[in-house]
Amino acid sequence: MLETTIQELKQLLMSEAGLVEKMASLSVDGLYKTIPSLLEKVMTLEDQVNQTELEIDDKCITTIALYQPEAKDLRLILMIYRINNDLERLADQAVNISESTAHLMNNPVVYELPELEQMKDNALNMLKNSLDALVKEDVKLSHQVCTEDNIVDNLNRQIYHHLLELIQINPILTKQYLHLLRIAKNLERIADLSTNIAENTIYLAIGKVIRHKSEDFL
Amino acid sequence: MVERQIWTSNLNLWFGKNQILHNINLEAYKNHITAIIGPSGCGKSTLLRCFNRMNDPIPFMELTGKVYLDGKDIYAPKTDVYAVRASVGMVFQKPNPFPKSIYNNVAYGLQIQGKYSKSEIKDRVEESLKAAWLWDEVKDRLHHSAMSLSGGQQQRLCIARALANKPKVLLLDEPTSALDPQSTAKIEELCLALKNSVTILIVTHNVAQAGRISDYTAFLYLGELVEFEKTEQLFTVPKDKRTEAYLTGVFG
Amino acid sequence: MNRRKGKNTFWIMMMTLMLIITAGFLVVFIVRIISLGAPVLSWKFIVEPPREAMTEGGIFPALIGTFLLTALAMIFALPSGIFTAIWLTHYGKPQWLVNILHIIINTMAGIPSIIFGLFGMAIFVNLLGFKVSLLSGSLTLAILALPVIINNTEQAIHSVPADFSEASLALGATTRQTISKVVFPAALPNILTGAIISVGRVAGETAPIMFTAATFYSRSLPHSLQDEVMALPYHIYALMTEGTHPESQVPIAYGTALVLLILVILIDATAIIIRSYMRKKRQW
Repeated sequence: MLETTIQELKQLLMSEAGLVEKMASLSVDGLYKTIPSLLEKVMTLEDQVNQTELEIDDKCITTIALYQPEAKDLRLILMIYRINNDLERLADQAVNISESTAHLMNNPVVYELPELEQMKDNALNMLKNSLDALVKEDVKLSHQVCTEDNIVDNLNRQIYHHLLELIQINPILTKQYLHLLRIAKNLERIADLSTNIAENTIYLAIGKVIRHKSEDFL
Repeated sequence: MVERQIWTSNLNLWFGKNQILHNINLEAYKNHITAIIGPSGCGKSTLLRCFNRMNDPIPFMELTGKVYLDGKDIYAPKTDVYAVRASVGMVFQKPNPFPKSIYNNVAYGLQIQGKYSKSEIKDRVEESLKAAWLWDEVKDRLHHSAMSLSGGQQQRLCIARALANKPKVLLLDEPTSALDPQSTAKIEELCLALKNSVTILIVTHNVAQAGRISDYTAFLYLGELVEFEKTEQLFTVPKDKRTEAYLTGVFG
Repeated sequence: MNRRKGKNTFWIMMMTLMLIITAGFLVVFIVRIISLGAPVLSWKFIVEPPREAMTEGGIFPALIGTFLLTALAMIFALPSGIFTAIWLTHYGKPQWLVNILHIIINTMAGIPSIIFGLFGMAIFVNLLGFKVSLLSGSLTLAILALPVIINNTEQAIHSVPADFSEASLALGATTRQTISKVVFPAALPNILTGAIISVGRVAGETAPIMFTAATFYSRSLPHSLQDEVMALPYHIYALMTEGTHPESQVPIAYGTALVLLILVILIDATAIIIRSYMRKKRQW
């Protein structure tokens, strides 16, 4: 009954998360090595993610209607609903990155911006950690993710200023530099969404809301 | 692929001059649980009792329309009503085991048919008690009185008793409304397990119960079948305003 | 507050007084019979026939007679009464017929027993030609007992929860099976106690057997249904009214009365004991 349904929801969410992680790493890997049909691959994954998103959405509503879950069960279903949403938006970000990556594949321009690689590593790490923490309901790990958001924000600002310089030096490459800017922005969104997931995980685990004030939380 | 097991066709019922059921067309599918919900006094139990002709003995009862079990109208003249009742079992709101031993309660349905040997009956009793999740609790005292069991156990005994006939359909008339929450939960889980071997129709005034266990739900209001739908659908997006009102607690 | 207390006390005193008066009558009644009848009582009194024109001897034939009359009456009345009750409770259609039958039965229950006696004489003794005999007497007594047995059985059947019948029918049992396997066994204790109490009543009736079975004196014990019998209640009546030697016969009459009283008390006590045992064992 309720337990089996909740298990099914968890599994669906995890498989969706897996797909999203795959999309994210694929989309940025394309900047540093050749990946044939990158965009196609990412789009196929996105279809699967969308389908799963609809499925989870429907199932959450039905579960609440049929079983009137309380306490932990209720928090869980509501958080699954929210995180489902975040995952779908993460997938969107990955698609956006892929579109820009497709334009920049094999372009040495990428190496002029080492901060980007660092930012990519941080953001993807945050994503991975937030999903791991979700599975294990790990409050400590989730909190760690929340604090790392600052680092990514800083890198984003750095990249912006660096790109401004690069455009002034080499205006011919503006288009490519703008793609890079876009990618950075999307990576920043990925970090944000990962933070959301982490905050929701904390609420699920201990019922404490830390949205908008993660600094106060011990 | 859902297959109809038992269904009504333009069923109308009167007690004297009062019309209780109005043109009911209700289907119950094989190996699924169908719940009948609705406010008190709107004919749910009466409708349920049409499926095993238990309204027949009530004076001034009149019925038009048909009730089909696997394609045969059980109200057709010359129907063996006793065979119908063995094939469509019923469990009542208040557990009503006979003042006999546990064994004799379950064996009753077989004993009255007179065509089973003692060993066949013994096997069937054990099988039914196991199916009703009661065997382990009573296997050492089968010859004790059924009245020595708790309320929840008695109700499971009544289920075992009905199952002994190997019915095609099991009718449950508010089977848990007289029981405590633990016994209720146990019986709900039992229903979910049983639906693989028997089609279940359950009348309940507890909407949440219908949500928990039924595959299909019928909403009965003032003797009319207002809506019949897959439970998920009915509970999230009911089509009729009256259904919505009932589910949100406006009345009933 | 004190007024209410006072009223309360007053009523309690009144009721206690009534209780004492009623109990008093009962005690006096029993003591009188015991004191007048006990001197005559002995084992010989019970097992010997009367001698010397009822002035000596015992009441054995009357005891036998009462026993036979009662037993036969029950053999006639119990099955017919029980089956009638079953018919009325389970098969009775149409309703107006059942209602009329109930009125008839209840009226019969209230008819004075002497009228039963006259009825018995008219129908059994004369019309059917059974003559004054064990047969006529027991038939008359049977008819007397019938309404009580029917009512008692009906009540016993009604006291069985309808839940059981419903469950039985829902399992595919016929009405007959439901009655024989569920309802009747459950009602049996109450039916039985009612029957036992009827026995006590029938044993003590005088008027119905006066013109139909009883005789003042018979030389031998009854051999067949056509024989006349002596009976305890009639014996008392006869000794007190037609006796020629009251000095010796009146004590015998009281002795007979005492025997009859003890018999009835024993029968009723048995019924009560059985009933309370059944009540303890009852599972619903």
